[in-house]
Amino acid sequence: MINFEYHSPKTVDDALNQLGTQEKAAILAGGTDLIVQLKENKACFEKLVSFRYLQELKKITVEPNGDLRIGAMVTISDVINSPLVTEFSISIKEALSTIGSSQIRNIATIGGNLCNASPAADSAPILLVLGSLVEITSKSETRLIPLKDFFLGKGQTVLKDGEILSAIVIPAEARSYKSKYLKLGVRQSADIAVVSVAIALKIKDEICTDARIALGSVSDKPIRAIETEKLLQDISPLDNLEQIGESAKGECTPITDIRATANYRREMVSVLVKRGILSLC
Amino acid sequence: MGKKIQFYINNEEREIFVQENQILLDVIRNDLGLTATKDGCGNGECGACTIIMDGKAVKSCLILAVEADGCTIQTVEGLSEDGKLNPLQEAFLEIGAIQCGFCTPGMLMSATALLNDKKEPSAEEIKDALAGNICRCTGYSKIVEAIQSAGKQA
Repeated sequence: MINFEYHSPKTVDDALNQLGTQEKAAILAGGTDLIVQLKENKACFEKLVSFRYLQELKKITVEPNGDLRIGAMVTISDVINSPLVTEFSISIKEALSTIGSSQIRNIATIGGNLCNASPAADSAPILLVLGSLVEITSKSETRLIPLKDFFLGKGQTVLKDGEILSAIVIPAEARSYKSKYLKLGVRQSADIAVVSVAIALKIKDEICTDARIALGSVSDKPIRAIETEKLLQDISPLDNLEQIGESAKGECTPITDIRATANYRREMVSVLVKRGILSLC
Repeated sequence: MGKKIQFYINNEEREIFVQENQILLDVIRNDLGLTATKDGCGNGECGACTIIMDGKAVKSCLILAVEADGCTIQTVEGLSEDGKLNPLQEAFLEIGAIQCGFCTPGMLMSATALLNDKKEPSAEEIKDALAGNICRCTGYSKIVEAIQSAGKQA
């Protein structure tokens, strides 16, 4: 395994200072992806900056405007067990419960899951359909961008050197949506999604006034199915399910890999989207 | 380089010098001689390396030793007291939840973490808590039964 310097700063400021020096640095959050990469010699850095002591990043709060704010270093287990999260949207708890196993969830972090930027990341689809934003902090500024603009490709995010993901913010209006995450895999646990789908619908008098659909594991990043969402506008969601399923198929670009073929994934996108909509109506 | 770390393991305070890239599982087994915790897959899938760290079941093969500085750790050696097996371990023996025994330390630690949190877990709750522990021998049903039995006794 490679050798590296190890630093465990106590404040975000110190962490940013550590990340701003010449050496190639990596961030250690939960380590459930990074340590595996280290052991497989797929990680390359001179300095490891552990975020274990950064209490500022470990808080879950409801802001005065009703937004839910989750610090990037909150473990998956702590998000799941948070009464604030459960009260805000039970679908977040359900989606994160599909990650790995209890031991993994106890140390993996929500920020780490997003920054690792696997197209199969289980936290991404539900956060996407709830209209989440990510807070990016550097020495010079803190900015908020929509999560849908955060991923650039497999394993790649917009984060530049010296920037960290500090929090995930889910807007208060997400409370008015009914949402669900569906994950298709070979096993019931400890599995990477073959296909995953999240749906969020705002329904009034049985008519859908707004729809969001996110697809995971069927592109080089988690994506929103924007065209399919438009098909659900101002109709009863149960009309036209077939057309909606077909449209979702058209918006994904799955690959064939060890877990499934592209064709199977495309078919399953349609199945999961229809199932998701049915479950919310 | 290296770093001195200090932590509590099975109620004993230990101080040890480790390299930055040493894995906690290896330090527990090789440096501390506590070999009951097993190295199965090495990448966080099989659960044979499960320990309890700061109250939570974690996979020690995915944790750098330096990250354990200041922590409280329990391994399977810490379940028995003065050589006497605890009720969970007795239940595993009595019900026959062990065949080759390789997964057993990890199973015991995941079960201990569960029983610390929930007094009488259902079979579903046990299966969920142990989803990260793989057994190739038993088919799991006696393991679940043993944990339920131990849960009722407590």
